[in-house]
Amino acid sequence: MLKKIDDCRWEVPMTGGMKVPGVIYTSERLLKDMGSDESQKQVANVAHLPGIVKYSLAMPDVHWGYGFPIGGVAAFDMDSGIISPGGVGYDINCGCRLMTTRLAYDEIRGNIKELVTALFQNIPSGVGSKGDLKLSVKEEKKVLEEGAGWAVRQGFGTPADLETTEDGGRMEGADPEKISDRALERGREQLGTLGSGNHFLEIEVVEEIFDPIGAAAFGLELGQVVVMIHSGSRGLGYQVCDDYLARMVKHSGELGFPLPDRQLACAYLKDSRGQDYYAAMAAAANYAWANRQMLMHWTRETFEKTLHKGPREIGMKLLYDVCHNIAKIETFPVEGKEVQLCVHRKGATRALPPGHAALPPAYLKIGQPVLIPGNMGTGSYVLVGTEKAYTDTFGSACHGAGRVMSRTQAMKASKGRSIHREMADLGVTVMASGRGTLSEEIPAAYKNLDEVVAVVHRAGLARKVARLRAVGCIKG
Amino acid sequence: MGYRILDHTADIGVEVHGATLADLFSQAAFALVDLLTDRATLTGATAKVIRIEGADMTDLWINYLREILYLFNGENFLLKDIPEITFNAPTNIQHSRTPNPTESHNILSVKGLDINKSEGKAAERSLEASLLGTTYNPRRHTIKTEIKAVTYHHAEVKQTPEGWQGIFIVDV
Repeated sequence: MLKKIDDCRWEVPMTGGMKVPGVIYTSERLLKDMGSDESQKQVANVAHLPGIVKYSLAMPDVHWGYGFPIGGVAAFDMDSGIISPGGVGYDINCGCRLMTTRLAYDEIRGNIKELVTALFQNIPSGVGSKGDLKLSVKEEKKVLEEGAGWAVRQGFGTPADLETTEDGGRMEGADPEKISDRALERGREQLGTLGSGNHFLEIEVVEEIFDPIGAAAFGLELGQVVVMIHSGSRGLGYQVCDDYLARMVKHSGELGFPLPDRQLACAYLKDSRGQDYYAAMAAAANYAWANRQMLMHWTRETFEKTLHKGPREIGMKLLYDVCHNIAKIETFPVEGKEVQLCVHRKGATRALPPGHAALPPAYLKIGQPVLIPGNMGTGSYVLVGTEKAYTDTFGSACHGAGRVMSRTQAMKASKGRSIHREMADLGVTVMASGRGTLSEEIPAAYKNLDEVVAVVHRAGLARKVARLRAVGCIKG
Repeated sequence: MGYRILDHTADIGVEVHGATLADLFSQAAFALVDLLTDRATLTGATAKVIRIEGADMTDLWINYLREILYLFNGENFLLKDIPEITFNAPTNIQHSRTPNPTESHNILSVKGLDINKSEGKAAERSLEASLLGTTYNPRRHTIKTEIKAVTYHHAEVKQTPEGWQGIFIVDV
């Protein structure tokens, strides 16, 4: 069913009710991994939705999701198009942030174990983990309106952090009144927690630099210690998605077309249901930014305390924060004209080119940092956005490695093995709160990150800047 | 009757079997709780009653499982047992319906269920279930998996020669 376009792109040709074709960015090697994966069908299903523009896209880390594939990107016309909670995902504004430091790995090599232990103690993680503060609903609504800015106002970090956060850590159009009591209740105790599953906080070392100019602009140098945080909007976000999906499923008969999958339930952008979801989603996105801002603050504190150094010596600076589960109103070229669209990125990272108005001044010349977290043990990549992504993929690139093994397969594959030990042999100190987390997250459960990033680089969607190697990791 | 786990790359799928519809719904809730924790360690000290509606049987199925999951995520309630599930006929004719004979299976009972009714769009489904469970205590109960949500993806409920079969996929 797939038609090869070039070495990086395969087309899902238009059939049946598809309004546009599908395009999957991948390689011969990654296609083999895709095997019987249902993600191709899901790319086609998304192409059925009203108002979809140009094509239904999938990034090289695509894998079978529910409704929309994970790694999917789709843009919709503001007048005739839809917005879909399933096109964003349950973890609204799941994303990552990368902090640089003034520390060289050689300096603190002997402190990694101590740092990991201290981080594990200071940063609440694990299933349904609760933070130290229980917000009043009134205060929580401020978080939902103000995002990372709220956290900075409370003393978690500095205003400079907001400059290098996507959208300044606050999405416009957020309305806390569109969030259910259930979601509010779930969010009250979980602000400032990492969560579980594939969420992590990792100490990494800059291992390889591909683009010296890009690396210099981002403040990266060989042997430098950096920290990557991967987390999202916690139970509040899951509940918002769940609430609105149910509401949209209930009214799906009014859409005027049959849904290929209920999980694709959506509402027209112009309808109140679509607008309500957008306002609630934006509020959940703000919660996630406040969350990552707090996690970063505690990371800074932990480094200072553990290494007995001041904030200046550690110099932990936010390189960038990007979200990879979101729907946003952005402008991209369509048939030679700049058009406002609702871009859904479900497991895809925004990648803006040099000169884009949404970039912080420091990155205006070079382009947006694109952060690609790997799975446990393999490290991560930093890339930079390009003009090509702007014209071809609605300013989007991949978001990670993408699973190839189901969690049950991974559990079986890791039976009888000491994953802790194997990680230690790879040079990574790991601490996890969940019993099964390490087994489910073994490196073999994921696609090869190098190959995924190579496709994005070759296709010109984002350019490789640096590769980071993990040395310490805490997981939920 | 029971359930088995289906393989799904990112998530966990569950195929559930039940002799009756009430059995199916109970087994599904137990499967969900088994994914969360070891159900054997739970007690049934706290009672709760839930009322769920759905546009059709599949919608009712997912809405019901969403509620069981919410009870844990939102109210720290871990389900041990379901002494009774009552399925109501489509709500639009609820007032005129006459109670059907009760169908029993173990300790479960189905009241007023018209299984021959097709899944018509106008015909809303509803159920009432009484639940027994316990309040989650992190020191006593180990949580195996964080379940973000019960999805509508590939969800189905159907009658088989042996009884009933249902499928749901959770996002973990």
